[in-house]
Amino acid sequence: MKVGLMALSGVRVRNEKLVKLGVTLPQFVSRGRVIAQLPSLSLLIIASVTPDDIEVDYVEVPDVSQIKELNLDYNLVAITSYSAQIYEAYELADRYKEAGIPVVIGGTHVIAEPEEAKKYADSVVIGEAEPLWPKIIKDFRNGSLQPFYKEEHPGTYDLADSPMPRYDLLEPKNYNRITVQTSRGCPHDCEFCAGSKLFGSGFRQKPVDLVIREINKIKEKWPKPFIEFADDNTFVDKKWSKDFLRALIPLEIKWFTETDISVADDEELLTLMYHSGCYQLLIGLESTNRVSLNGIDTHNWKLKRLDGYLAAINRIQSNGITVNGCFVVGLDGDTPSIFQEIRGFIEKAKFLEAQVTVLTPYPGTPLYNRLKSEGRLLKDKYWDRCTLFDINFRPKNMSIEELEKGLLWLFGEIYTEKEYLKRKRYYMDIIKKLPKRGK
Amino acid sequence: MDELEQEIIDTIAEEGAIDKSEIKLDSNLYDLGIDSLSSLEILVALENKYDITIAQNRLKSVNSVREIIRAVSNQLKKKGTGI
Repeated sequence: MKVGLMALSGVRVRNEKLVKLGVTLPQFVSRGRVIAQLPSLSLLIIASVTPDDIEVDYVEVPDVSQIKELNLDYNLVAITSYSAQIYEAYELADRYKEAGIPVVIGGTHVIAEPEEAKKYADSVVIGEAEPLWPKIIKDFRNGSLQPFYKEEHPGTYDLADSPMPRYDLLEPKNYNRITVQTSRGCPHDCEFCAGSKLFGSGFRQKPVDLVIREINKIKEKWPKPFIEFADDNTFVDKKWSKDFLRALIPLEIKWFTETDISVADDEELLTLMYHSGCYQLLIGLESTNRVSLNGIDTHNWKLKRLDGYLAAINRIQSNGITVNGCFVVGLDGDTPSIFQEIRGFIEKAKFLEAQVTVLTPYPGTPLYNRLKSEGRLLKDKYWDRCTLFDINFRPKNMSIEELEKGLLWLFGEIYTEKEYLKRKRYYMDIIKKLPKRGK
Repeated sequence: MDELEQEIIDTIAEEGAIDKSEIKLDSNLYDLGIDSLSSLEILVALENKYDITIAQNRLKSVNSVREIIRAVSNQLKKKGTGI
């Protein structure tokens, strides 16, 4: 028996003006390339919980329309996709079903829209792969595949039981960054977040030794890997974080992750990050505007941090760790002046890289439900436009045209080569003065 | 290949975590699997090694091995300590 594990890969942007502009923006292209080349960790996990007597094929699908002839050498096909590529995933599922091969579909989008997904697949997975996939395989073998597989108690799967992802399925030369997960969830319940609450509301972390074991496994194929931790917020638990970073130092890796601004509160943590090989932290600052930040998360955690943003970023970058500052435009508090404000803040903060995206109501999020109830969504089922760069709703305090124009203007301002080189030189001057990593 | 070129390639291999044999003079850093963050650290390692500073406006043209060698070489000449 053989199972085809397929992920829709790559980054999608529908806005033609942005695509055109993006070609000339080195940072935008650079981060897009990195994201496009990351392996699908969920498929590697599924492969790891597949019984040994079943052969698995790991397949990344950058463009379904380019597949002229399907590989039909499978008894079962499993497809995962984000919202932006979901119609392509459905097309792929249709083609396999037409060819008589049953299809199971999972991923963040179908958790939010399982009934929609069921029209295209034989089975829909609503939850985490580790507890559900073995049952799916068992049912398939018995000829009793169910339409839906739903986790009974989302968020209770113990990450201490995590299997070793099948990194052996990857061809080393195709990947210059490898993904490792240390946690699931985030304590900040931002209204727009499409990832951190899908698998339950809590925050779960893998034991340090388990993560280290995974990295050592990766090192068997990539001796000096660049690891991208596939977390929503890695450094929530500072005690775990320091234990982890101390264990990481001897491994001599380079790494990147997403976390929140609170890491700047702890100088020892920053020093450990630098020496353990942290090259960049992606931090969701979301906005520089008090009104816009108000209500983003239930406890207004980010609003309370706003006044300390610049000092915190300076502390992180002074420790040799670049910050990729992330901002969302189109928030309800945003007026057309927000673009200039963010532009000024980025200049002051001297981020090596910054990421500006448009507010995106992903299905299943509180934001989606609110905008839908307020009648502000531009159309139904706009999933292929859930790219973070395309506008799908009516902003509150500016027109759609002002939002699009402002976004394009901001892109043109912050992603130019001149601006990037200025920030690059600034950061190079910082790390030149620091001791060599790993000490 | 002269001594300077060899030393620079050694540094790129070390900092970029790639095999020396993969690096050719015309190799583009990205094609070698070295992204923007790693390339930045390579440049810092070279600046520290030779006690030079590559000017901001020169950073944009250092995307290949040959261009890095040229940038380092030019800075060393300016210092009057070319190898």
